[in-house]
Amino acid sequence: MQTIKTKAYGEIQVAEDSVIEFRREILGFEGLREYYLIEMGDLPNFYWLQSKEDPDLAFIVVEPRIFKQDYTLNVDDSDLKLLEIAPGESVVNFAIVNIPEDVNRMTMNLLGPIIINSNKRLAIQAISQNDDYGTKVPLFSLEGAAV
Amino acid sequence: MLVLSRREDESIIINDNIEIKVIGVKQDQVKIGIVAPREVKVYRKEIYDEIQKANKEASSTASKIAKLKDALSRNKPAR
Repeated sequence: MQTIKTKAYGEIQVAEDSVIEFRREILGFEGLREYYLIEMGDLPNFYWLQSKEDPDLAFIVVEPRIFKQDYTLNVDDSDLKLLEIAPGESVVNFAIVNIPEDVNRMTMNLLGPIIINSNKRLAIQAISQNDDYGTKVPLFSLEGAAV
Repeated sequence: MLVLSRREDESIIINDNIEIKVIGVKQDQVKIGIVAPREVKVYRKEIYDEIQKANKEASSTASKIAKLKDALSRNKPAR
């Protein structure tokens, strides 16, 4: 185990080899290539994507299918090549969550999905080929929500 | 930045295999055609700008965890 600094939890212990290398950085955060994916203990399906190089930088990410069942990942083959996916390796896909002032209107970014080869621990922020997906897709159906 | 003047139907070639052609010019709009190998990705720059903006916004709101828990307990997934 090793100790890392995080924005949400201060110093925590993670497995020695758990860092994920971004083969193409998160847009707007060029130069930062190493992140940890940290489970959000009491919130299943949500994770912190914590920068190794900048402890103050962290994103909340979620598995998009939890909130949008018909979601399909559709990205360019050349994006996937960066992840060096070999047969049998597993790929997971997340969306960055944005929490506005009105938290009921929380959104996720499906235009720039985060894709991770969990075996080789390589990641990218891709660009969706599906034009219907924007950067602010609502997580919740507000109908019938208790206000 | 390299700046070249081109007329309608004229092209430039980049790297021997990417052709960018001016298809038409109408008022303040230029129609551009691109011929490139399959592995060359072409996106409108707004897409990059949009994702970058969303990333910045998300990084600055990522500490509102208490709010997130609250919203999850009260709302239904969009599906």
